[in-house]
Amino acid sequence: MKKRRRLAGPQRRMASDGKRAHAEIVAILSQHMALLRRTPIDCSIEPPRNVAPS
Amino acid sequence: MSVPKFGIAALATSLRRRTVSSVELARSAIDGLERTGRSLNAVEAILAERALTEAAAADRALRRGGDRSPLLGIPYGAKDNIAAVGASLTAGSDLFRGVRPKADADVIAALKRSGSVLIAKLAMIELAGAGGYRYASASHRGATRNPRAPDRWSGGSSSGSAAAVAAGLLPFTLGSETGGSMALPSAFCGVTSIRPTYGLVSRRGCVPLSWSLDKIGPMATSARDVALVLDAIADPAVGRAATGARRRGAGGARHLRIGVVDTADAAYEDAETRRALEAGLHAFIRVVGPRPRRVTLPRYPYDAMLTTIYFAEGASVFAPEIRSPRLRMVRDPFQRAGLRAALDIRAVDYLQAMRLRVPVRDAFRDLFGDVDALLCVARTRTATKIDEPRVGRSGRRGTMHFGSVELIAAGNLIGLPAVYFPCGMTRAGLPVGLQLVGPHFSEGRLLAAVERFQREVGA
Repeated sequence: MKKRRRLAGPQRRMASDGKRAHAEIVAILSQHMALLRRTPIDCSIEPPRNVAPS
Repeated sequence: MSVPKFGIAALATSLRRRTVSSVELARSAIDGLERTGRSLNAVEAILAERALTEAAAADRALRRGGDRSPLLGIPYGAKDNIAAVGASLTAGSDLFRGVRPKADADVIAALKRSGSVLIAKLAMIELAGAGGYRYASASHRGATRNPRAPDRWSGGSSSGSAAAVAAGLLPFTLGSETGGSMALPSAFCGVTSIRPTYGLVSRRGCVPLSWSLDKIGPMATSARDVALVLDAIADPAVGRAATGARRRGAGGARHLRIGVVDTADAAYEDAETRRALEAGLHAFIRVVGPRPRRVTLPRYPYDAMLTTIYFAEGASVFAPEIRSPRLRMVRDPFQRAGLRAALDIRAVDYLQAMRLRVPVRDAFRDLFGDVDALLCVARTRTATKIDEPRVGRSGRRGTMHFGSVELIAAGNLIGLPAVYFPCGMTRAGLPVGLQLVGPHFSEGRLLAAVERFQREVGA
Protein backbone atom coordinates (compact mmCIF):
# COMPACT_ATOMS: atom_id res chain seq x y z
CA MET A 1 0.00 0.00 0.00
CA LYS A 2 1.26 3.42 -0.91
CA LYS A 3 2.17 5.48 2.13
CA ARG A 4 0.89 9.05 2.34
CA ARG A 5 3.73 11.49 2.55
CA ARG A 6 3.77 13.22 5.90
CA LEU A 7 3.88 17.00 5.62
CA ALA A 8 6.57 18.94 7.47
CA GLY A 9 5.51 20.84 10.59
CA PRO A 10 4.79 24.30 9.15
CA GLN A 11 3.11 22.85 6.02
CA ARG A 12 0.92 20.58 8.14
CA ARG A 13 -0.02 23.52 10.31
CA MET A 14 -0.90 25.66 7.28
CA ALA A 15 -3.03 22.88 5.74
CA SER A 16 -4.88 22.45 8.99
CA ASP A 17 -5.32 26.21 9.21
CA GLY A 18 -6.95 26.27 5.78
CA LYS A 19 -9.83 24.22 7.15
CA ARG A 20 -10.38 26.37 10.20
CA ALA A 21 -9.50 29.78 8.86
CA HIS A 22 -12.88 30.71 7.40
CA ALA A 23 -14.81 29.92 10.58
CA GLU A 24 -12.25 31.81 12.63
CA ILE A 25 -12.24 34.93 10.49
CA VAL A 26 -16.04 35.01 10.34
CA ALA A 27 -16.16 34.75 14.14
CA ILE A 28 -13.65 37.60 14.52
CA LEU A 29 -15.54 39.82 12.05
CA SER A 30 -18.83 39.04 13.82
CA GLN A 31 -17.31 40.22 17.10
CA HIS A 32 -16.14 43.40 15.37
CA MET A 33 -19.58 44.08 13.88
CA ALA A 34 -21.24 43.51 17.24
CA LEU A 35 -18.86 46.03 18.82
CA LEU A 36 -19.54 48.58 16.09
CA ARG A 37 -23.31 48.19 16.39
CA ARG A 38 -23.15 48.62 20.17
CA THR A 39 -21.21 51.90 19.89
CA PRO A 40 -23.68 54.79 20.14
CA ILE A 41 -23.40 57.59 17.62
CA ASP A 42 -25.52 60.67 17.01
CA CYS A 43 -27.68 60.18 13.94
CA SER A 44 -26.66 63.59 12.60
CA ILE A 45 -23.04 62.46 12.16
CA GLU A 46 -22.32 61.69 8.52
CA PRO A 47 -19.42 59.61 7.28
CA PRO A 48 -16.51 61.83 6.27
CA ARG A 49 -16.70 62.71 2.58
CA ASN A 50 -12.98 63.20 2.43
CA VAL A 51 -10.90 61.68 5.19
CA ALA A 52 -7.93 63.92 4.42
CA PRO A 53 -7.52 66.61 7.08
CA SER A 54 -8.30 70.12 5.92
CA MET B 1 32.98 53.27 0.90
CA SER B 2 30.11 50.89 1.51
CA VAL B 3 26.60 52.01 2.38
CA PRO B 4 26.21 50.17 5.67
CA LYS B 5 27.91 52.40 8.21
CA PHE B 6 26.72 55.74 6.93
CA GLY B 7 23.53 57.73 6.95
CA ILE B 8 22.33 60.06 4.22
CA ALA B 9 24.15 63.15 5.49
CA ALA B 10 27.53 61.40 5.69
CA LEU B 11 27.09 59.85 2.26
CA ALA B 12 26.09 63.23 0.77
CA THR B 13 29.24 64.83 2.21
CA SER B 14 31.43 62.06 0.78
CA LEU B 15 29.79 62.43 -2.63
CA ARG B 16 30.50 66.16 -2.68
CA ARG B 17 34.10 65.65 -1.54
CA ARG B 18 34.48 63.08 -4.34
CA THR B 19 35.75 60.44 -1.92
CA VAL B 20 33.10 58.17 -3.41
CA SER B 21 30.91 58.33 -6.53
CA SER B 22 27.22 57.60 -6.82
CA VAL B 23 28.00 54.75 -9.21
CA GLU B 24 30.31 53.21 -6.60
CA LEU B 25 27.59 53.53 -3.96
CA ALA B 26 25.04 51.96 -6.31
CA ARG B 27 27.36 49.04 -7.10
CA SER B 28 28.04 48.53 -3.39
CA ALA B 29 24.31 48.54 -2.61
CA ILE B 30 23.54 46.12 -5.45
CA ASP B 31 26.29 43.80 -4.25
CA GLY B 32 25.02 43.86 -0.66
CA LEU B 33 21.43 43.25 -1.71
CA GLU B 34 22.46 40.35 -3.97
CA ARG B 35 24.43 38.67 -1.20
CA THR B 36 22.83 39.60 2.11
CA GLY B 37 19.47 41.01 1.00
CA ARG B 38 18.49 37.89 -0.88
CA SER B 39 19.56 35.61 1.98
CA LEU B 40 17.25 37.62 4.27
CA ASN B 41 14.41 37.36 1.71
CA ALA B 42 14.27 41.16 1.76
CA VAL B 43 14.52 41.66 -2.01
CA GLU B 44 11.83 41.47 -4.65
CA ALA B 45 13.89 42.77 -7.61
CA ILE B 46 17.16 44.59 -8.20
CA LEU B 47 17.05 47.32 -10.86
CA ALA B 48 20.74 47.28 -11.76
CA GLU B 49 20.43 48.94 -15.18
CA ARG B 50 18.16 51.73 -13.99
CA ALA B 51 20.26 52.24 -10.85
CA LEU B 52 23.55 52.62 -12.71
CA THR B 53 21.98 55.01 -15.22
CA GLU B 54 20.53 57.19 -12.45
CA ALA B 55 23.80 57.03 -10.49
CA ALA B 56 25.83 58.12 -13.53
CA ALA B 57 23.44 61.06 -14.02
CA ALA B 58 23.86 61.97 -10.35
CA ASP B 59 27.65 61.89 -10.70
CA ARG B 60 27.43 64.26 -13.66
CA ALA B 61 25.22 66.63 -11.64
CA LEU B 62 27.67 66.46 -8.73
CA ARG B 63 30.58 67.32 -11.04
CA ARG B 64 28.64 70.31 -12.40
CA GLY B 65 28.06 71.51 -8.82
CA GLY B 66 25.44 73.96 -7.64
CA ASP B 67 22.97 71.23 -6.69
CA ARG B 68 21.00 71.62 -3.51
CA SER B 69 19.35 68.25 -3.03
CA PRO B 70 20.74 66.36 -0.01
CA LEU B 71 19.54 63.15 -1.67
CA LEU B 72 21.51 63.59 -4.91
CA GLY B 73 23.29 60.32 -5.68
CA ILE B 74 21.92 58.49 -2.59
CA PRO B 75 20.73 54.90 -3.18
CA TYR B 76 17.36 53.66 -1.90
CA GLY B 77 14.75 50.92 -2.24
CA ALA B 78 10.95 50.84 -2.37
CA LYS B 79 8.31 48.43 -1.14
CA ASP B 80 6.94 46.38 -4.00
CA ASN B 81 3.49 47.96 -3.92
CA ILE B 82 5.02 51.16 -5.37
CA ALA B 83 5.33 51.30 -9.16
CA ALA B 84 8.72 51.85 -10.79
CA VAL B 85 9.62 51.51 -14.44
CA GLY B 86 12.08 48.68 -14.94
CA ALA B 87 10.66 46.21 -12.43
CA SER B 88 7.51 44.21 -11.86
CA LEU B 89 4.86 45.35 -9.38
CA THR B 90 3.74 42.28 -7.45
CA ALA B 91 2.47 43.64 -4.11
CA GLY B 92 4.13 40.54 -2.67
CA SER B 93 1.79 38.16 -4.46
CA ASP B 94 1.94 35.70 -7.36
CA LEU B 95 -1.45 37.14 -8.33
CA PHE B 96 0.40 40.04 -9.95
CA ARG B 97 3.53 38.29 -11.18
CA GLY B 98 4.50 39.77 -14.54
CA VAL B 99 2.74 43.12 -14.08
CA ARG B 100 5.17 45.77 -15.30
CA PRO B 101 4.20 49.41 -14.75
CA LYS B 102 4.69 51.89 -17.58
CA ALA B 103 5.22 54.88 -15.30
CA ASP B 104 6.80 55.63 -11.94
CA ALA B 105 4.60 56.25 -8.92
CA ASP B 106 4.55 59.89 -7.81
CA VAL B 107 6.90 59.17 -4.88
CA ILE B 108 9.44 57.47 -7.14
CA ALA B 109 9.22 60.40 -9.58
CA ALA B 110 9.73 62.86 -6.70
CA LEU B 111 12.82 60.98 -5.52
CA LYS B 112 14.13 60.87 -9.08
CA ARG B 113 13.83 64.67 -9.22
CA SER B 114 15.80 64.84 -5.97
CA GLY B 115 18.58 62.80 -7.62
CA SER B 116 18.11 59.66 -5.49
CA VAL B 117 19.03 56.36 -7.10
CA LEU B 118 16.46 53.56 -7.05
CA ILE B 119 18.30 50.29 -6.47
CA ALA B 120 15.65 47.70 -5.60
CA LYS B 121 12.05 46.78 -5.04
CA LEU B 122 11.69 45.21 -1.62
CA ALA B 123 9.77 42.22 -0.31
CA MET B 124 6.44 42.62 1.46
CA ILE B 125 3.52 40.67 2.89
CA GLU B 126 1.19 39.74 0.02
CA LEU B 127 -1.38 42.45 -0.74
CA ALA B 128 -0.05 44.24 2.36
CA GLY B 129 -2.25 41.90 4.41
CA ALA B 130 -5.58 42.99 2.93
CA GLY B 131 -7.38 39.99 4.39
CA GLY B 132 -5.30 39.61 7.52
CA TYR B 133 -2.63 36.88 7.74
CA ARG B 134 -1.35 34.38 10.25
CA TYR B 135 2.20 33.60 9.22
CA ALA B 136 5.32 35.62 8.48
CA SER B 137 5.59 33.51 5.32
CA ALA B 138 2.49 35.23 3.84
CA SER B 139 4.47 36.52 0.87
CA HIS B 140 5.46 34.96 -2.40
CA ARG B 141 9.06 35.56 -1.33
CA GLY B 142 8.54 33.74 1.95
CA ALA B 143 9.24 35.26 5.35
CA THR B 144 11.76 38.11 5.52
CA ARG B 145 14.38 37.41 8.15
CA ASN B 146 15.31 39.96 10.78
CA PRO B 147 18.91 41.16 10.33
CA ARG B 148 19.23 41.54 14.13
CA ALA B 149 18.29 37.88 14.68
CA PRO B 150 17.87 35.81 11.51
CA ASP B 151 15.77 33.15 13.25
CA ARG B 152 13.16 35.88 13.78
CA TRP B 153 10.82 37.78 11.50
CA SER B 154 11.40 41.32 10.24
CA GLY B 155 7.75 42.25 10.77
CA GLY B 156 5.39 43.33 7.99
CA SER B 157 3.92 44.26 5.74
CA SER B 158 6.86 46.59 4.89
CA SER B 159 9.18 43.66 5.58
CA GLY B 160 12.03 44.17 3.11
CA SER B 161 11.98 47.95 3.56
CA ALA B 162 12.80 47.64 7.26
CA ALA B 163 15.19 44.70 6.91
CA ALA B 164 17.26 46.41 4.18
CA VAL B 165 17.79 49.48 6.38
CA ALA B 166 18.48 47.43 9.54
CA ALA B 167 21.02 45.31 7.65
CA GLY B 168 22.77 48.45 6.41
CA LEU B 169 22.09 47.56 2.78
CA LEU B 170 20.38 50.85 1.92
CA PRO B 171 20.42 54.21 3.75
CA PHE B 172 16.69 54.66 3.27
CA THR B 173 13.64 52.91 1.86
CA LEU B 174 9.96 53.55 1.27
CA GLY B 175 7.28 51.61 3.12
CA SER B 176 3.54 51.95 3.47
CA GLU B 177 1.05 51.73 6.31
CA THR B 178 -2.66 51.05 6.44
CA GLY B 179 -3.03 49.61 9.93
CA GLY B 180 0.50 49.15 11.28
CA SER B 181 2.62 48.01 8.33
CA MET B 182 5.46 50.40 9.16
CA ALA B 183 5.04 50.30 12.94
CA LEU B 184 5.59 46.56 13.22
CA PRO B 185 8.74 46.16 11.08
CA SER B 186 10.22 49.39 12.49
CA ALA B 187 9.88 48.03 16.03
CA PHE B 188 11.06 44.50 15.18
CA CYS B 189 14.09 45.65 13.17
CA GLY B 190 14.98 48.77 15.19
CA VAL B 191 14.69 51.37 12.41
CA THR B 192 13.19 54.87 12.36
CA SER B 193 10.24 55.68 10.13
CA ILE B 194 7.39 58.10 9.74
CA ARG B 195 3.77 57.47 8.90
CA PRO B 196 2.88 60.86 7.42
CA THR B 197 -0.43 62.66 7.81
CA TYR B 198 -3.00 61.00 5.54
CA GLY B 199 -2.81 62.67 2.13
CA LEU B 200 0.55 64.39 2.65
CA VAL B 201 2.39 61.94 0.38
CA SER B 202 0.82 61.06 -2.96
CA ARG B 203 -0.15 57.40 -3.45
CA ARG B 204 -0.63 57.67 -7.20
CA GLY B 205 1.00 54.66 -8.80
CA CYS B 206 0.78 52.46 -5.72
CA VAL B 207 -1.26 49.27 -5.33
CA PRO B 208 -4.10 50.27 -3.02
CA LEU B 209 -5.33 48.29 -0.05
CA SER B 210 -7.66 50.82 1.54
CA TRP B 211 -8.23 54.17 -0.16
CA SER B 212 -9.20 55.95 3.05
CA LEU B 213 -6.31 54.56 5.14
CA ASP B 214 -3.19 53.98 2.99
CA LYS B 215 -0.10 56.13 3.61
CA ILE B 216 3.45 55.97 2.23
CA GLY B 217 6.46 56.94 4.31
CA PRO B 218 10.26 56.69 4.55
CA MET B 219 12.30 54.34 6.73
CA ALA B 220 15.93 55.04 7.68
CA THR B 221 18.43 54.78 10.52
CA SER B 222 17.61 58.16 12.06
CA ALA B 223 14.89 60.81 12.34
CA ARG B 224 17.26 63.20 10.60
CA ASP B 225 17.43 61.02 7.51
CA VAL B 226 13.69 60.33 7.58
CA ALA B 227 13.09 64.11 7.57
CA LEU B 228 15.34 64.57 4.53
CA VAL B 229 13.34 62.00 2.57
CA LEU B 230 9.96 63.27 3.75
CA ASP B 231 10.90 66.74 2.54
CA ALA B 232 11.52 65.28 -0.91
CA ILE B 233 8.30 63.25 -1.19
CA ALA B 234 5.74 65.37 0.68
CA ASP B 235 3.26 67.19 -1.51
CA PRO B 236 3.78 70.89 -0.66
CA ALA B 237 0.34 71.71 -2.00
CA VAL B 238 -1.21 69.46 0.66
CA GLY B 239 0.74 70.30 3.77
CA ARG B 240 3.24 73.11 3.69
CA ALA B 241 3.37 73.11 7.48
CA ALA B 242 4.66 69.57 7.56
CA THR B 243 7.45 70.02 5.07
CA GLY B 244 10.73 71.72 5.79
CA ALA B 245 11.18 69.29 8.68
CA ARG B 246 14.96 69.51 8.38
CA ARG B 247 15.07 73.27 8.11
CA ARG B 248 13.12 73.65 11.32
CA GLY B 249 15.71 71.45 13.01
CA ALA B 250 15.41 70.51 16.65
CA GLY B 251 14.56 73.98 17.87
CA GLY B 252 11.58 74.12 20.19
CA ALA B 253 11.43 70.37 20.61
CA ARG B 254 12.87 70.25 24.14
CA HIS B 255 9.74 71.39 25.83
CA LEU B 256 7.10 69.30 24.14
CA ARG B 257 4.03 68.72 26.26
CA ILE B 258 3.96 64.95 26.11
CA GLY B 259 0.96 62.78 26.88
CA VAL B 260 2.06 59.29 27.83
CA VAL B 261 -0.43 56.64 26.78
CA ASP B 262 -0.27 53.86 29.35
CA THR B 263 0.11 50.26 28.28
CA ALA B 264 -1.69 47.54 30.23
CA ASP B 265 0.67 45.42 32.35
CA ALA B 266 -0.66 42.22 30.80
CA ALA B 267 0.06 43.43 27.27
CA TYR B 268 3.84 43.05 27.58
CA GLU B 269 5.52 39.95 26.26
CA ASP B 270 7.60 39.59 29.42
CA ALA B 271 9.28 41.56 32.19
CA GLU B 272 12.50 42.10 30.21
CA THR B 273 10.68 43.62 27.21
CA ARG B 274 8.77 45.86 29.57
CA ARG B 275 11.97 46.94 31.33
CA ALA B 276 13.65 47.84 28.04
CA LEU B 277 10.62 49.75 26.75
CA GLU B 278 10.07 51.66 29.99
CA ALA B 279 13.76 52.58 30.20
CA GLY B 280 13.57 53.98 26.67
CA LEU B 281 10.33 55.80 27.37
CA HIS B 282 11.76 57.46 30.49
CA ALA B 283 14.93 58.45 28.62
CA PHE B 284 12.83 60.09 25.90
CA ILE B 285 10.77 61.99 28.46
CA ARG B 286 13.94 63.20 30.21
CA VAL B 287 15.26 64.65 26.96
CA VAL B 288 12.15 65.95 25.25
CA GLY B 289 9.24 66.35 27.66
CA PRO B 290 10.27 66.55 31.29
CA ARG B 291 6.75 67.13 32.61
CA PRO B 292 4.58 64.55 30.87
CA ARG B 293 0.99 63.85 31.71
CA ARG B 294 -0.79 60.53 31.61
CA VAL B 295 -3.40 60.21 28.91
CA THR B 296 -6.19 57.72 28.46
CA LEU B 297 -7.37 57.31 24.89
CA PRO B 298 -11.04 58.04 24.18
CA ARG B 299 -12.99 54.77 24.31
CA TYR B 300 -13.86 53.58 20.81
CA PRO B 301 -13.65 50.14 19.17
CA TYR B 302 -10.58 51.14 17.16
CA ASP B 303 -9.57 47.68 16.06
CA ALA B 304 -13.10 46.81 14.92
CA MET B 305 -13.37 50.10 13.02
CA LEU B 306 -10.00 49.71 11.34
CA THR B 307 -10.52 46.07 10.36
CA THR B 308 -14.01 46.70 9.01
CA ILE B 309 -12.85 49.61 6.87
CA TYR B 310 -9.73 48.07 5.39
CA PHE B 311 -11.35 44.66 4.90
CA ALA B 312 -14.30 46.25 3.05
CA GLU B 313 -12.17 48.60 0.96
CA GLY B 314 -9.60 45.86 0.28
CA ALA B 315 -12.37 43.48 -0.82
CA SER B 316 -13.52 46.13 -3.27
CA VAL B 317 -9.97 46.65 -4.57
CA PHE B 318 -9.28 42.93 -5.01
CA ALA B 319 -12.83 41.71 -5.80
CA PRO B 320 -11.92 40.28 -9.25
CA GLU B 321 -9.09 38.25 -7.72
CA ILE B 322 -11.15 37.12 -4.73
CA ARG B 323 -13.93 35.83 -6.99
CA SER B 324 -11.45 34.03 -9.22
CA PRO B 325 -9.90 30.57 -8.72
CA ARG B 326 -6.59 32.45 -8.82
CA LEU B 327 -7.21 33.37 -5.19
CA ARG B 328 -5.43 30.12 -4.31
CA MET B 329 -2.22 31.91 -5.34
CA VAL B 330 -2.49 33.88 -2.09
CA ARG B 331 -0.19 31.90 0.20
CA ASP B 332 -1.67 32.41 3.64
CA PRO B 333 -4.91 30.46 4.31
CA PHE B 334 -6.02 33.00 6.89
CA GLN B 335 -5.64 35.81 4.34
CA ARG B 336 -7.56 33.83 1.67
CA ALA B 337 -10.37 33.28 4.15
CA GLY B 338 -10.26 36.92 5.23
CA LEU B 339 -10.52 38.19 1.67
CA ARG B 340 -13.52 35.93 0.97
CA ALA B 341 -15.26 36.93 4.20
CA ALA B 342 -14.58 40.61 3.52
CA LEU B 343 -16.78 40.46 0.42
CA ASP B 344 -19.74 39.91 2.77
CA ILE B 345 -19.22 42.93 5.02
CA ARG B 346 -22.48 44.88 5.00
CA ALA B 347 -22.62 48.46 3.80
CA VAL B 348 -24.35 49.47 7.04
CA ASP B 349 -21.43 48.17 9.12
CA TYR B 350 -18.84 49.83 6.89
CA LEU B 351 -20.74 53.11 7.17
CA GLN B 352 -21.00 52.80 10.95
CA ALA B 353 -17.21 52.40 11.11
CA MET B 354 -16.75 55.37 8.77
CA ARG B 355 -19.15 57.57 10.74
CA LEU B 356 -17.35 56.74 14.00
CA ARG B 357 -14.19 58.27 12.56
CA VAL B 358 -15.78 61.71 13.01
CA PRO B 359 -16.19 61.61 16.83
CA VAL B 360 -12.79 59.91 17.12
CA ARG B 361 -11.22 62.77 15.15
CA ASP B 362 -12.98 65.34 17.36
CA ALA B 363 -11.91 63.55 20.56
CA PHE B 364 -8.26 63.55 19.48
CA ARG B 365 -8.52 67.21 18.51
CA ASP B 366 -9.56 67.90 22.13
CA LEU B 367 -6.72 65.73 23.39
CA PHE B 368 -4.20 67.76 21.39
CA GLY B 369 -5.46 70.90 23.08
CA ASP B 370 -3.66 69.71 26.23
CA VAL B 371 -0.60 67.96 24.81
CA ASP B 372 1.68 68.43 21.78
CA ALA B 373 2.27 64.75 21.16
CA LEU B 374 1.33 61.31 22.42
CA LEU B 375 4.11 58.91 23.43
CA CYS B 376 3.49 55.19 23.59
CA VAL B 377 5.30 51.91 23.04
CA ALA B 378 5.21 50.91 19.39
CA ARG B 379 4.94 47.22 20.17
CA THR B 380 4.67 45.32 23.43
CA ARG B 381 6.80 42.45 22.23
CA THR B 382 10.04 41.84 20.39
CA ALA B 383 10.43 40.16 16.99
CA THR B 384 8.56 36.87 16.73
CA LYS B 385 10.18 33.59 15.68
CA ILE B 386 10.08 33.15 11.94
CA ASP B 387 7.42 30.38 12.03
CA GLU B 388 5.42 31.68 14.98
CA PRO B 389 1.72 32.18 14.14
CA ARG B 390 0.33 35.68 14.45
CA VAL B 391 -2.97 34.71 15.99
CA GLY B 392 -3.57 31.79 18.33
CA ARG B 393 -6.20 29.23 17.40
CA SER B 394 -9.80 29.17 18.55
CA GLY B 395 -9.84 32.71 19.72
CA ARG B 396 -6.80 32.34 22.00
CA ARG B 397 -4.81 35.31 20.85
CA GLY B 398 -1.54 34.89 22.64
CA THR B 399 0.30 37.10 20.17
CA MET B 400 -2.63 38.97 18.68
CA HIS B 401 -1.34 41.46 16.16
CA PHE B 402 2.21 40.77 17.33
CA GLY B 403 1.78 43.00 20.40
CA SER B 404 -0.07 45.88 18.75
CA VAL B 405 -1.40 48.76 20.81
CA GLU B 406 -4.62 50.78 20.39
CA LEU B 407 -2.86 53.96 19.34
CA ILE B 408 -1.73 52.32 16.08
CA ALA B 409 -5.32 51.71 14.99
CA ALA B 410 -6.58 55.06 16.31
CA GLY B 411 -3.82 57.07 14.61
CA ASN B 412 -4.34 55.29 11.31
CA LEU B 413 -8.11 55.78 11.43
CA ILE B 414 -7.86 59.54 11.64
CA GLY B 415 -4.71 59.95 9.59
CA LEU B 416 -2.38 61.26 12.30
CA PRO B 417 1.38 61.34 11.70
CA ALA B 418 3.53 58.99 13.80
CA VAL B 419 7.28 58.59 14.15
CA TYR B 420 8.36 55.05 15.01
CA PHE B 421 11.84 54.84 16.51
CA PRO B 422 14.05 52.42 18.45
CA CYS B 423 14.61 53.17 22.12
CA GLY B 424 16.87 50.34 23.25
CA MET B 425 17.46 46.62 23.28
CA THR B 426 16.51 43.72 25.47
CA ARG B 427 19.32 41.78 27.11
CA ALA B 428 18.87 39.23 24.32
CA GLY B 429 19.87 41.94 21.82
CA LEU B 430 16.43 42.46 20.28
CA PRO B 431 15.31 46.04 19.54
CA VAL B 432 12.31 47.69 21.16
CA GLY B 433 10.71 50.90 19.98
CA LEU B 434 8.35 53.76 20.71
CA GLN B 435 5.90 55.84 18.70
CA LEU B 436 5.39 59.60 18.90
CA VAL B 437 2.04 60.72 17.47
CA GLY B 438 0.96 64.31 16.85
CA PRO B 439 -1.83 66.33 15.28
CA HIS B 440 -2.19 66.49 11.50
CA PHE B 441 0.82 68.05 9.75
CA SER B 442 3.01 68.06 12.89
CA GLU B 443 5.71 65.96 11.18
CA GLY B 444 8.42 68.63 11.57
CA ARG B 445 7.95 68.90 15.31
CA LEU B 446 7.74 65.12 15.87
CA LEU B 447 10.88 64.43 13.85
CA ALA B 448 12.78 67.25 15.57
CA ALA B 449 11.90 65.73 18.96
CA VAL B 450 13.06 62.25 17.96
CA GLU B 451 16.20 63.70 16.35
CA ARG B 452 17.07 65.40 19.63
CA PHE B 453 16.49 62.15 21.53
CA GLN B 454 18.67 60.17 19.12
CA ARG B 455 21.44 62.76 19.27
CA GLU B 456 21.50 63.07 23.05
CA VAL B 457 20.88 59.46 24.04
CA GLY B 458 22.45 57.74 21.06
CA ALA B 459 19.53 55.33 20.74
